[in-house]
Amino acid sequence: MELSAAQALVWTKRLLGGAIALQALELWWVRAAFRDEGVFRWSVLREEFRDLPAPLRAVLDRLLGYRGFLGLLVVQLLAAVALISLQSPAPARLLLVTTWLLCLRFRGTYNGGSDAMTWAILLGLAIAEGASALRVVGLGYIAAQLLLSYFVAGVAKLREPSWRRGHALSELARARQYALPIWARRLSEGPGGAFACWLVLGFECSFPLALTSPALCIGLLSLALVFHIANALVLGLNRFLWAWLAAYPALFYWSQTARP
Amino acid sequence: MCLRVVVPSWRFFDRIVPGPRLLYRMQAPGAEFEPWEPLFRDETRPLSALLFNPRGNLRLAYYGLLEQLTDDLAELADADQAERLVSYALVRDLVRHHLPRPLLAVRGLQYQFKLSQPAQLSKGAAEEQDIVISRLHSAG
Repeated sequence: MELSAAQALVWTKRLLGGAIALQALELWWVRAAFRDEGVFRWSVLREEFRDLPAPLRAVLDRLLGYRGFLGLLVVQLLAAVALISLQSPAPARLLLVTTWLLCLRFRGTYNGGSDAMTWAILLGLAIAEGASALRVVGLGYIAAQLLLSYFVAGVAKLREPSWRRGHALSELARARQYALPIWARRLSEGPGGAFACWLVLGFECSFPLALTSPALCIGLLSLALVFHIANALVLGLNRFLWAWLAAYPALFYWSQTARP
Repeated sequence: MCLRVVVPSWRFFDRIVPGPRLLYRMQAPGAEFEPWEPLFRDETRPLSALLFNPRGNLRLAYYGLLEQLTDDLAELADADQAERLVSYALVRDLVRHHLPRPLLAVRGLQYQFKLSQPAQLSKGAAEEQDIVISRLHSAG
């Protein structure tokens, strides 16, 4: 199977457009939490920006107040659809700005790594669509972020005794923020949990090998997909699944070009 | 704050930190305090959450907020200044929004919240330490 840079770009845009549309719809669904009487109300959040010049604060009030926030979500959704269906570089550039603004409202990110990966891919697309000569550079940036996301996470885990001793997943299962299903909590205890810890460590730390051959790349990306589906089912991290999936074509493209 | 999305750390789940626990209690005028109750209950996740999980992701954002308040309080030199924190105000509103609706009609109802954290997950959930106990806030 061969994938050209142009095809990789098209698939990245389609997958990312789907992921961003889903993110916008999810935020719209729970919009009551962002109203003027809601939990994440702008009248409280705007205090974070009190040191900015008044004109800039006025712009943020317009954009990130409840009405502006809803407007941003609509723009986000329309731009995501345009990213899927149009050849123009405009949707990715617009989404780069709107995604950053939405993250700003949530004091950094709404959903941690999934927002960061979404933004990294958008930046890669903006580079790739800047000029035809930059196409492979943009794809390279996306592929590098994907590689780093697994490898850095793997090395960081390897340093932690709880991962090396094999009880990190059972500890994660007891962390109340993820509300794990009972079957997952039971599975994480005992030798199964320890085996799974080492499986995660081995997979994440060996991920850079994906660059050495397209076949190995497909194998590791398939494992990664299973890993994300499991995370979505067990931890509820569905946004990670769709955001990471969008970076896969870029890595596969580079696995073809980087082979010896 | 602006850089968190631009420069990702990619260090996921390296240190498994137990999530803080948010508890609240209420007091009607002239009555004793109700017992402390956890604000979040365990919820089952439908299979459809694989595709569409807005409430689950909002819940994770709420937990992110609790972690932010924990970090902000740790950096605070004067604990009496806690109420000036944006994260404190957001958690206060989070509690108020989750109070049982029928009780909000009670005149003069007040509530209090506390954030506590188990010392270590590996030692079980028995050892909990209070990070902050709020003053009484009006539920009205």
